[in-house]
Amino acid sequence: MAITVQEAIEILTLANTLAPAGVTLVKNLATDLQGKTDAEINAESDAIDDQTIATADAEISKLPLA
Amino acid sequence: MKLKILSIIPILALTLCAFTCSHTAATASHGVAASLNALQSAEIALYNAKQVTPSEHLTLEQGFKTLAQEDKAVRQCIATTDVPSCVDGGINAVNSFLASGVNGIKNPDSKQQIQLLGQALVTSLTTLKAAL
Repeated sequence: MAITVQEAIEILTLANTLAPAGVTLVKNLATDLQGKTDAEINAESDAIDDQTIATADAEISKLPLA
Repeated sequence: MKLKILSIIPILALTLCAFTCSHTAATASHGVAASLNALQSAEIALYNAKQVTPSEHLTLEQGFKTLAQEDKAVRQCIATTDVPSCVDGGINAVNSFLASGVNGIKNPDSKQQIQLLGQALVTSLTTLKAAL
């Protein structure tokens, strides 16, 4: 999917303002994974999943239904 | 507009990765984790915009937690055995998530957005399986 530069800027802006977890994604996109070992990449992946789990716990704890 | 842009994030991730990442299982697995994280971010944005109900938000967040745990299990399986079947559990978990949690979303636009992002996650897992 082709996007314009303006749309890319809007994505970065939204990631910073609306979705803190999206910041991690943007940072990861900017990272050259080819320069890292598989173990290092897997450690980053585990950290992202851990963040997803922590965010889910935080969101669930804020709900009165939880 | 915001929702359209949020839906682009994982697709952008996959597109950029196709050009910049090496095609190893590790990088493909990284794409899965990032796509799941982006899907969760989009759902939270929808919930904050009151386009997802609190009960739906609870179900979906519980689903994200399960999927992230499953993703880690897939990665551990690959590290141990390095076989394509390691990914099957992850694919089944996403399909179950789409069939149960996502299908229960009442707002049609929100449902469509999350389904789109969920499909991107399935694509990431399929890419991972192909890399093994």
